[in-house]
Amino acid sequence: MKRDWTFGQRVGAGFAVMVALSVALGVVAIYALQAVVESKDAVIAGSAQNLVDGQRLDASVEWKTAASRGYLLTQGPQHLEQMGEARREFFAVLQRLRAGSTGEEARRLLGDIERLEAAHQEATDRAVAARRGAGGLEAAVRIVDDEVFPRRSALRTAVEGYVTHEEQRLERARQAASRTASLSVGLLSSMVALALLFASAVAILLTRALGQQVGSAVGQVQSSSAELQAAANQQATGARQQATAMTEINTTINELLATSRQIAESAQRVAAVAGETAAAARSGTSIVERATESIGGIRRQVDLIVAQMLDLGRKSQQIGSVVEIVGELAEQTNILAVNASIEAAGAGEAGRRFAVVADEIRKLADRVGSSMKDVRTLVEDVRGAVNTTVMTTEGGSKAVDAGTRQFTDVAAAFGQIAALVSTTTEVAREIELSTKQQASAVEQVNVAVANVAQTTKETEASAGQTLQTASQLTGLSRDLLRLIRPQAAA
Amino acid sequence: MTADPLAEKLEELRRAFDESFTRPAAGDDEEVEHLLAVRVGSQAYAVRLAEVRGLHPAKRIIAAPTREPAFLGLAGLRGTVVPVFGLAALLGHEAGRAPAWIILPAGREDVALAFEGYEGHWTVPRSQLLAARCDATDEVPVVRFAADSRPLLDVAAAVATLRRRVATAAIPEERET
Repeated sequence: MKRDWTFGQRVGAGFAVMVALSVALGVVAIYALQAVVESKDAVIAGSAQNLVDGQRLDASVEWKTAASRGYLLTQGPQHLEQMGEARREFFAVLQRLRAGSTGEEARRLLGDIERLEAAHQEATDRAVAARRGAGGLEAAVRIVDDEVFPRRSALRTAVEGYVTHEEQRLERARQAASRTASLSVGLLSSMVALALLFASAVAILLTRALGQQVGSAVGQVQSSSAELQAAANQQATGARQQATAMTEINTTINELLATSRQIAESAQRVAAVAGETAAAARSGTSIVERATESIGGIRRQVDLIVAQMLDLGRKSQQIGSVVEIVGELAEQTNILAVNASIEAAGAGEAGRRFAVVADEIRKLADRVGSSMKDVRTLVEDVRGAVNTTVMTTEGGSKAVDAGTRQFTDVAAAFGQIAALVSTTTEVAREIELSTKQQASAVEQVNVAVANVAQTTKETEASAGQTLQTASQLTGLSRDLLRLIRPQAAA
Repeated sequence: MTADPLAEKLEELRRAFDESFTRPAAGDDEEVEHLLAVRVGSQAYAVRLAEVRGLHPAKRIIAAPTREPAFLGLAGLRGTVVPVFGLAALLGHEAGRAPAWIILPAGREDVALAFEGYEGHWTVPRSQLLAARCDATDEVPVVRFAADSRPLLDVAAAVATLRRRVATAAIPEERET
């Protein structure tokens, strides 16, 4: 038996074999029954009919004899007719017997009967004729006694012989029919035994194959039911967790709804504030433009300051040059005074007063030189201050430039702010609209979540039912396995 | 309110100039000594004005070949060409930078002595001239003026020393000739 046959195929194949065996058994039984019936029919229709016809032969002979006697006694023509009728029946029966007899012995016996009946008829005819003749009744009685009776006895004996022959043939036919029936019974018994053996073999094979297949399937069903049970457990747990999560989601969605409404209100306020901001930005733009103009004026003034300070630096440098000249003159004056003092000392008394003047001149030159140092220091300070001022002013100029650029940037930024605020207003309105739509959507989601929560509860109940079903399935598979493999189930 | 220091300075100069005309004529000049504060190399000295015939800036000194290390060259002063000797080399100091001033010794010496710095003209009471300690072979007086104190350079002695060195250097050459 193929291993990849299905359960139905295997059961169908088993039933097909059993049906084939039953058909064969039925055919054999029908054949045997027909054989028995035919043999019995042959016994009944052939031998029994022949036996009855044999008796009828004797009866028709007896009827002819009685009719002949009646004629001999009464000489009534009706007796002659009866004799003729009896004789016709005799020949009809004899003809049927010849048709139904197949054996040589039967034909020979029937020939003897026909010949003896002819002799009997010939004696009877002579007795009838004697009765009609001159001898009358006596002659007729003698003939009857002398010829008709012996011939009648011979005829009866021949008929009895035929009957005996037929009875023997009937007995043989009955025995042959009985043997045929016994043979049929034996054949049927053999077929039944063979069918039982084959059915037992098929049953064993089917039991083994189906036991393995169904046992494997039941094992898989058992493991699957266990997995289904675990899955149902998980599903139930998940459904409970999902129900809890749905509750939390419902709460969160309610909070989200409230938040969306707050956002919508905030968006309205943002739109209002953005409008005010746009107005302020436009005002700021004009202010920045005026400030830019002011800074341009400051820049021009700073440029003038820088030019003046550079001129002041050049002039202080010229002052330094003049101071250098004055200092040098003072030094030369000092030298001259020293030399004048020397010359005055050399002039003796006449140079004394000149020495005094020279000394005063020298002192004055010393002081001028000292003062020139101070002036040089001051001029250096002035030049340093001018340089610092120029650098600072240039820094201020750069700062003004940077400020101008920054103000330009600020103006551009104000423009951008105005544009962005306009965009912000639009966006805030869109946010408001979107938030309202969002709130509506959240309400729908809330309804949907409620439905989902209900579905989750139903799922939880369904999971419980599934779990129960899985448990029942596990029990059923265990019972089924016990039915198939008691030792395995135990 | 603080006054302008420059204006104060100017006022002080003006007052000193005016006071110079109001002071009486100088009396006994024997009590003071006129000195030139100079710097030879890195050393400060005082030179009596009486020992000097003239003070001039050393504007141009023309170098000339010589074996005397103190000889710097020739310079033209008031139409006269004079040899210039460095005081730093004469006094045994390191010269440092180039000499900026020249003095002509008193008398009829036709030499000029160059030094590095001229620091001023001092009028010092003679009481400020202190004798040096006698622990050295050369007795050099010391001048003290205000917080400054420096040795008094004897110009005549320096010229004599120079003359001796020049004479000592010239004798072998004469003998050779």
